[in-house]
Amino acid sequence: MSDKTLPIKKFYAYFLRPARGLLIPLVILSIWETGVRTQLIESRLLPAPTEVISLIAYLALHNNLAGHIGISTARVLIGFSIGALSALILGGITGLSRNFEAFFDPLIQALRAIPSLAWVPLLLLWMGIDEAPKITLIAIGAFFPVYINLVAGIHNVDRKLVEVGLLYGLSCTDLIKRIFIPAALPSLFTGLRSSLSLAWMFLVAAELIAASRGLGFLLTDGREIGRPDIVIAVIILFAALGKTTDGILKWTESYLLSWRDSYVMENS
Amino acid sequence: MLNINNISKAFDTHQVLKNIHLNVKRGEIVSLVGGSGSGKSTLLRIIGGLSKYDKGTVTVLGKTIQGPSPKVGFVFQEPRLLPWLTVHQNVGFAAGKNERNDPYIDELLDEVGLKAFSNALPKQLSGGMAQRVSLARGLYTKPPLLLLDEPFSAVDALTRNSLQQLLASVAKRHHVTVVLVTHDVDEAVYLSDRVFVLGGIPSAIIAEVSIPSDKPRNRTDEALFNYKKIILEHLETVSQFNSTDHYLETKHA
Repeated sequence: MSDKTLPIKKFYAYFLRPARGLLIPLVILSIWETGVRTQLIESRLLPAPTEVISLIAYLALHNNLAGHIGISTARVLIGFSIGALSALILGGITGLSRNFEAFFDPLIQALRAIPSLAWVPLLLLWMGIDEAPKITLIAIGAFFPVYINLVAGIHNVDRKLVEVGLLYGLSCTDLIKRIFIPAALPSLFTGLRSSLSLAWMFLVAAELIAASRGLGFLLTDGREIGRPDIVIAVIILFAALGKTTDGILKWTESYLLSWRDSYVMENS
Repeated sequence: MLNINNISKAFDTHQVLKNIHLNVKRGEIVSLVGGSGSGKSTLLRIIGGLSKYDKGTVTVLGKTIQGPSPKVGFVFQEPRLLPWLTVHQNVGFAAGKNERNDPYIDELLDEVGLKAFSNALPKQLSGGMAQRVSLARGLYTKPPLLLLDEPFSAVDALTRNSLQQLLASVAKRHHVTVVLVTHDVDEAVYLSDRVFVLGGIPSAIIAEVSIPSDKPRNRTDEALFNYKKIILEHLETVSQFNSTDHYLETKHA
């Protein structure tokens, strides 16, 4: 590589390559905007992107949008944390103990087969309509991807690496800490990312059922008062929030798993 | 140093080793050769405390082997480096729970020619480099006995030659006794003071060939070729080896 081409390649790597993902959404938004402005698309059904952006700005200034985003994000983070942490504990024990697996895994797999939304009536009966059923529903949704991936990750730990640990006299706790946990991390992150995206899905379900605050409430409100612009604005906010939280998790994954010898496609 | 007395081992109903006797003196390099399935790796794992045995005794420096011990270093066929640890940390991993930042790790890495790669991850190493790290890890606990299970079988011929030279010099410098399992008769003859040929069903030591040539050895030495011939003849007599053809090919190459 010559010195002259280096800055260009760096500029490409840091700015242009990540920006490529914006190209198609921008094209779609342009077509959408043009379609509405030329009245090919009815704006009362599908308002133009600029109108939606103006509405988001209006909601932020006059309708406590930050509060709605805050409560929804808090619900997701609390539900996700409870679900993922429970899955870490149960999945860790199930993965490491064949006995525990024999007793508990069939039950957990049966519970996994229940569509999570089927829990809603029971949760409402048991917990009322306050925060508890919403967070519980999100936690149930977040539990299974982490559990399944963690157990699979532990079961797939290379026997030969465990043997290296045994050769150097590691205790059971040290084996878990120094071999099983790092080796199962890639699977765990796969589970955590699926779990977080499910947590956002279950948030919508929870807030559609019974809520007086949050983005799901705004979504219901928009439908009830016949405002597709509000519905679209909330959908865009969900996309942005989901992408941001997944991005944070993805960055953490890349940072912690930089040792992985993954295939990287060459530019062509 | 190493005494193997009347060892037998079966996997379920399949008897693999029967009445193995073997004594290795301090500072010796011995090789175990034999076809696939002749039980040489099983025997090595028994010495290393990684496999149980059904009958007999194995002692290292007078102490019975009942499990892995820091007195016995082990280098596997694959480097088996922990991919999330750096080269330096992988060598230090041999200290088990007593791991610390030890200048001896740098000395060992220098000795195997990888000091500059101390902070590299295993994914950044070639097969030969990874096996050098594995050798350094095997030596880290300053074991009087070092076991190697076909350590150079997965690398190209040139790298294999240089790794064999490295092993010979490292064994001499550390005054370590070496038991090497190999398929490669040339390797066994180049490195060893004695070569044990395993064969039969169940497997037993069918021949012991002493190689008194001075070290360092010259690979083109006519005397070494004669020892190779003797070992190959012993291997040929064990008709049940499926891999006899491999040795014939080597012989006529």
